[in-house]
Amino acid sequence: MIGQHTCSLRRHRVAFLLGVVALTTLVTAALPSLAFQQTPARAVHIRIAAVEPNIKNYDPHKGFSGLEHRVLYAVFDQLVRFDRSGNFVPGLAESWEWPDARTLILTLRRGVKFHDGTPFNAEAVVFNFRRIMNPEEQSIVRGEWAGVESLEVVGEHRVKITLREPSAAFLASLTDRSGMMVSPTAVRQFGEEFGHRPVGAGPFILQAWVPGSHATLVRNPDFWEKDFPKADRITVYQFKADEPAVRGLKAGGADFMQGVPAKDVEWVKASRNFDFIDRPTVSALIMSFNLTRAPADDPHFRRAIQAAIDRRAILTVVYGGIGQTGTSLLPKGFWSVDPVMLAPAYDPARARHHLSLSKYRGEKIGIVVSPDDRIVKTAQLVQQFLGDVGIQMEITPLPGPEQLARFFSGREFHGRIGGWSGRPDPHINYFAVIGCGGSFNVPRPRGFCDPKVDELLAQGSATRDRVQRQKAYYALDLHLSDQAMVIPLIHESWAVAIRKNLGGFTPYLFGKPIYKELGVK
Amino acid sequence: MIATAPVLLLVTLAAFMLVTLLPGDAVSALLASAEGLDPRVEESLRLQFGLDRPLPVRYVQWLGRLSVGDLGRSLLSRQPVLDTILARLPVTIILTAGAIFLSLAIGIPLGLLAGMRPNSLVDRFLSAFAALGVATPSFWLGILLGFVFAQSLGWLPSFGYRGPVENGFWLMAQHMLLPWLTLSAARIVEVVRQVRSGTVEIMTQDFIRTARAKGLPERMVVWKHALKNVLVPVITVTGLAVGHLLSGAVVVEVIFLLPGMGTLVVEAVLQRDFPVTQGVVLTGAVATIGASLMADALYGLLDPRIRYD
Repeated sequence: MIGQHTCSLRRHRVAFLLGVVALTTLVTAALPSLAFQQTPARAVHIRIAAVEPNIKNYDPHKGFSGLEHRVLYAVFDQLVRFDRSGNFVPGLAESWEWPDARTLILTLRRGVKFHDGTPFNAEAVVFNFRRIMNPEEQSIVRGEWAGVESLEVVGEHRVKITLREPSAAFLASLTDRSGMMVSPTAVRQFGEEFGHRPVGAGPFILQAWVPGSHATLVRNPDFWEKDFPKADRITVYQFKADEPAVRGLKAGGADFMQGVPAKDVEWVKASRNFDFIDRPTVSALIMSFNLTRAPADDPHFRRAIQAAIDRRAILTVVYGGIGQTGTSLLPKGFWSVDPVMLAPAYDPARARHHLSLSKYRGEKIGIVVSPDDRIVKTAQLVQQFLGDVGIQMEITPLPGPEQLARFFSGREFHGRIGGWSGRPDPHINYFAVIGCGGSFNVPRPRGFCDPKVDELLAQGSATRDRVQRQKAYYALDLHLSDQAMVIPLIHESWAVAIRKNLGGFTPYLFGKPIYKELGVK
Repeated sequence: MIATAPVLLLVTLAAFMLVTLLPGDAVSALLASAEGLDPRVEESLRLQFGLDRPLPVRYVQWLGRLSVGDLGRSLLSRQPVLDTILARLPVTIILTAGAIFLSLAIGIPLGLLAGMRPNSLVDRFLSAFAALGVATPSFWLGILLGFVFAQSLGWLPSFGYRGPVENGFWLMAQHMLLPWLTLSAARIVEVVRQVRSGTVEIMTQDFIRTARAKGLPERMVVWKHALKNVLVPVITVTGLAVGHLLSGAVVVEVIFLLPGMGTLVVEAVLQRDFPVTQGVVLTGAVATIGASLMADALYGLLDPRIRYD
């Protein structure tokens, strides 16, 4: 008996010890070694901490979110590109001409191949355009092609596009999704899978994509710009929230982050490892209204709101001073914005005066906001400013689909404080937000139609002459500001943290980093 | 086993109803992502997604396809739901299995330690610690662990997943240790409390007195006679914990950037991607039911009185 017990006791002890040993090995093996394997010398591997929730596919013509662009720009080259200040420069189209106001002829770059070896030529371009225009393909950018009458291959490297009527904004669409060229062979081969196995002619090849985790981009050795890309490999870690992304940066797991939250900016500035860069982008934080609903239909009431808000305070408190106070839908420095125009002054006395002229009678006005930390904080400040002049405001944070069903439909709320991500051409921006039938004009689908707005929008888009267009948009901004139809609050700057040994980052107004330029200094 | 079919049916029906109760559909979720859809595209997308059909019809159609093993395609990524889930499942399995292992490996010895000497200093310390553990939200704990072990000490990576097949067990474990600890913290204290109270109760029972009386060494008494009896409720809570762990995985996956099922379902719900939501709910239900079946089977191993014939 005793012998048996001792034996089984020993067995238990051994099992217990084994358990303890296994656990300690697990812990100790994990602890000491720094988990990040350094890449071998020379090959440049850059790790990016990006906050990119909800990426569903990388098909430029069928994607859904503006956040997809960072990888799209890397995988797909565009026909036309823009430079830092928003001017058009050649991309896959070497040049373009307008023989008349309705005809655009693109001359394509020669000797370019898609990642899968398919030659890039007029046929491939027309394949892309037809794909966008084909209703069965359900392209998200089909609307940009509604004004296109016909397409024609006029030589191996020339394509002719005929428009139904002159459009100044059309060329701008070729800098975006519409101008990103996909490989016809890959589209035919992969069908619905293309968004997960994208093939373009851009500086990087998408080597692997693990949705919810990361995308790995490797250098395209045959990229037509011989100096690019600067890095051999880029891994984009796609975080769902700011906090873990910033920690990744601080813990040394990432080399670059665009969109560092205001509270972490001081850390970046003080860091020995990172440089700090900030530049304005076209994205804006705006307060918009249901202009058909009392009291927001009353210009006096809206002017009172406009004058009651202290934008400087919002910029300082919520954004840590990074960014600019808004005068227009687009930021100062963009060509369509009058450089001498001033942001509406913070003037509580004036606000009270307008309020006394308005039909506002002390009722609570409902403002819907996106459940985003910065936007909610901004709304709380606005609530306080409005309270100071005697306007009662109630904040309701709602996610996008609910906002659409309850505010954009015109059913509830008087206004919204939220982001506007910004587009490359002023016409697209103004039309969406305030144009008759614009997708963000409330109540959808038609919205509030202001004849003066529509007239100025038409003027701005009828010509390609920049001075003429500027005149129209300057006037439009003045009109919007006078009527307080949209109240621009802040143009957020992207606060960028970049490891000190890296360089080449160019902040573009469109707010999307161009990864091919990132490299070792 | 057959009895689980109606449960699964009810679960998917409930999930379907809940998702459709939310305002908006997949197309309005797309519109709200600020890229601005063309109204014509909007309508044709509704048709393509099948959102024009009445709710009961959509549910029955989904069931019909399910009966032949087809979970459908995601509305947004156009990927087959089954492939999407299979790609994400291993991460969540590793995460929850590791958390269960840790909770047992740490919780049982600590619980025994406390239960053997009730009201001693060790017991009081562990009880206080357990109360603290229950009260600690996992998102906060995750951030704290990341701050200490990744950011300040630099011992562990702060994010990312490395599959064990391609990267080996150790690299995987390095990346998973913080997520495991975060997810298992609440479970560890649960196990400690269960084991402690079980031990306190059992140590006063007659058969323990008998074991001691016949001269067995104390370790023998504890490990052979007491532990087996204590483990029965532990297995019950662990079986039930699978459901909790799956929901806890959502937060942990977001904090540590793990491409698992938790983040998949959150995205799918927010974007009203109904086939994906249904697929994940179904998988979660199967896992939870499977865990309780397994717990039932384990009782028999531990306690001859509840062996099934």
